[in-house]
Amino acid sequence: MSTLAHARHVLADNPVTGLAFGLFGLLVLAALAGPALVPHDPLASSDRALAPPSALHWFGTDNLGRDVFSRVVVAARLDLGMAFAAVALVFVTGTLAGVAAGFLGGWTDRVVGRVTDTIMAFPLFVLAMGLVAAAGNTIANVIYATAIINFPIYARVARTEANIRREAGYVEAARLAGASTAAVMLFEIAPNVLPIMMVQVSLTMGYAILNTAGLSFIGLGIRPPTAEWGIMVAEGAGYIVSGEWWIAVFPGLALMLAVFTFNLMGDGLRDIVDPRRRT
Amino acid sequence: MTLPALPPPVLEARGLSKRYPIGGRGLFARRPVPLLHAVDRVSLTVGAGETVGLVGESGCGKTTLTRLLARLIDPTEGMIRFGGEDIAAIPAARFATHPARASIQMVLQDADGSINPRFTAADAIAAPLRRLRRLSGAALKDGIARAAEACGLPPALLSRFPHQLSGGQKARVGIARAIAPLMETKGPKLLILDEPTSALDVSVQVVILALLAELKARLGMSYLFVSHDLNVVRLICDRVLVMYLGRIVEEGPAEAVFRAPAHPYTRALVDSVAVPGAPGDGPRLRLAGDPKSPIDPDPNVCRFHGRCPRGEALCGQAAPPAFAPGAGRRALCHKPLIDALGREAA
Amino acid sequence: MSQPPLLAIEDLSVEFRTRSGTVRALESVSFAIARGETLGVVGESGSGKSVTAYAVMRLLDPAARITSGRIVFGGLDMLAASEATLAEIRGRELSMIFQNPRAALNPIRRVGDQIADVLLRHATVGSAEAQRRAVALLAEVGIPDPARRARAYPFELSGGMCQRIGIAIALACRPALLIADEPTTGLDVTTQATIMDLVAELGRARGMAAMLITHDLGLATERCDRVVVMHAGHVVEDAPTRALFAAPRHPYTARLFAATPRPGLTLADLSTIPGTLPDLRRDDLPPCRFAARCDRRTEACDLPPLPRHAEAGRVVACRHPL
Repeated sequence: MSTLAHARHVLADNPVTGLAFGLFGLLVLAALAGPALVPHDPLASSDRALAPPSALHWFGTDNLGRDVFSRVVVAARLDLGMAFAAVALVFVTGTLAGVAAGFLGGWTDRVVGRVTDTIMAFPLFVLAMGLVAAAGNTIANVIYATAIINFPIYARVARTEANIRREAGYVEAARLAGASTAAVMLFEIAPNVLPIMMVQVSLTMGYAILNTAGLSFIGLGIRPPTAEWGIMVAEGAGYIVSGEWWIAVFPGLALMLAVFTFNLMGDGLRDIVDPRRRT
Repeated sequence: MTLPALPPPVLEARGLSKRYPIGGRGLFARRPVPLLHAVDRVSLTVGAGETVGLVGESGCGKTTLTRLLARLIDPTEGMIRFGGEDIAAIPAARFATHPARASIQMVLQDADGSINPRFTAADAIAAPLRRLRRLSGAALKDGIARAAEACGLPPALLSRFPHQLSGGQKARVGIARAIAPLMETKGPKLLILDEPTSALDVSVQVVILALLAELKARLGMSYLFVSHDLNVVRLICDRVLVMYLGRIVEEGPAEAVFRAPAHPYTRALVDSVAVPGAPGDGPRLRLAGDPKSPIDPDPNVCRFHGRCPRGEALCGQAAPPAFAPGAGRRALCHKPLIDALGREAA
Repeated sequence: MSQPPLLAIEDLSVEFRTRSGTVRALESVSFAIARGETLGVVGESGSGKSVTAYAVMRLLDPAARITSGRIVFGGLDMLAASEATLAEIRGRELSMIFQNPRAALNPIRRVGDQIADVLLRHATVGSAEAQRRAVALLAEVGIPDPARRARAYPFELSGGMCQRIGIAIALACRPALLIADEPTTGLDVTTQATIMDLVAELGRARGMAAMLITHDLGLATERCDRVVVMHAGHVVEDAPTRALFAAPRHPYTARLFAATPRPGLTLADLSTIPGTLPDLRRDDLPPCRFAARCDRRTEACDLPPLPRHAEAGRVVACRHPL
């Protein structure tokens, strides 16, 4: 059964996963094609400030008269893009470090262990704040900070999974076939750790999006007038009391939807990647 | 008249030992560090075209011994002569790229766990061919096909994953993978088989054993066959080695050793095996308790003392000598069950 | 036969609903165990021997459905009994030991407590008395230094010891029937022998019956009074041990022996069983599930019903018995 056929089978089997992938598709569409599809220019202010949701402005307008709907859709590109970059970075580094630590043990394990312990000693969001504040308020630094605070989870999960498989029969078989230690780690252990890491990737995407939004909310990372969910929630927070709820609530819902989607996708991704699920 | 020279043994091991330090190292470790004697001064030979059986309880060291002979781990001391050189002197990490790697292969226990669940059967068989024989493309496909065909694996099964294969099919994949690099080797070839049929139904076992016999003859291999099933060992092995707590306590031609064991432990093993279809008669030797600890064993005491029903004072005071109860046989015992002429001793 | 049997399985059929279809795991399985008798249930993988055991214990997987038949244990209709009644019986009148002794024990509880659990559940004793009896049971199953070992965790004990603990738990309330599902498969030969000696001795002392499920014909030969041979969910033969091994009447039984290594035989003397198990998900399974692999097959073998010859205390499910 090919991967595609199997993927279709998994999606058909579990409608919730199907829903998650559908939503994911929607988010990706918003990220890629959003700026071209939105009805209004997200940066253009108008004199219809603080207008409630209507046929013209589906999500209303904010204090500068900008269309909230257009801004929410366009912000997807930035939020998803940064989260994706951070997750890709930590996935590669965390998995490699964890597999090496779990398989080789000894000093590699101790070093990786101390690094993860150090990171985990801090409240993670505070650490991210500190890193961005110290290193400079740029998008790149937000991505690095997000990657760093998620490193321990990846390293630990990968380490445990590698440790379990260290004595496996197929590791011995690989050595009998002439594989070096590096080859065993990369081609025997890592592919088996992949399905479990897939669930992790999905969950981490959710955290990464929240992290990015959270840093922007407090003024680090993305600065206005760029459209980004966190900034929008920050800007709209002050107006809730006075009744203009739509400025903060819609970006907030978008954040919620994105995190929800990624969490649901985790199981589905693992089912597709893990050959044992193939019948 | 000179007798024709026997072909030299395929593998010869002398004084092979593996000791593991246990307990903490570092500042607060006890000095000297206690050592676990997994394999203790084992010497053995595997002759050309021979099937040598290796039996013993769990914890006796047979797994460690097979890993030493297959050069997956390094011995603490000892010599392994194969293909004219001492391969024990080559560190395990470097043996992966040594030419002899393609001549010593192993069929692992638990065929299920020994195939990477993310690989198809074809991938599993391809791995040693790619690395040890440097095959790729059409030559690689050819090599896989030949190994699969020799093991009776239909080509349709090659694209399946382990969880889609039956026990017998997985066993065949394990064998095909092990013999694939051996198929083109000239010179001595040793295949170590670690419980290759223990998870299989009897009807499948017969087929796999017949396959192994045919492959041995066809490819000119020698076998080291590890099993806990004494009936199978008796069936297919020319000679047998009985291992206990890291030492070989008895060795000799399989049928002779099983019919008239010299060492009390061998006797207990044989007595434990129920013969299908023939309820036992005669006295049975039963072992009480568990084996002694393999950590820092006393060299002046027989390892089996305390559990041996024939033990006497001498067994607790001196290491047992090697004794030859017959041609080609050897037992480490103060009070063997049979004497040098093969008669029952007191 | 003066007494009614302790356990009577009549015409039992079990199906499993799976993603890929309905597996007809057992069909028309019938056999009985008398009080004090040791019955061996032998067969290869897929024969349905474990399913039968779990059906008797009423511990089948939720996907299983008993589609017909009766199981009568000590006069009680097991299929009609309530879960409360069954929970009373399990552990007290009817108990089981399993293939992997370590897996059958809770790894985070002391072994003495695990034995005491059974006593507290079924016997009217307080916890101090239960602990005392647990230690006594450990001694009975041959564990040295039982008072100290009762405080041990399973990981501190060897496989053989864990199986002894399993036996202690199973025998704590002196059941009338012990079901042993491949109890020696994970153990060394020397340990296998001592464990089976223990079961036999304890069983004899208490007049306990046993159902020994195994693929090991040697074990069946040595330890069983009668043997039931199963193939693909059917009972193919049911006979006293000596008679069965001296002269098997079902072609499958004969083939099974012919494939089993024994002293005195060479590899060339052994033969295999041609063909494979039928796919039990099919709707069109023939009445005899061995027919496709049998060299004595005729057209009569394809006609229902499943044949059943009973004579001289033996049962053979074959139209052309040997």
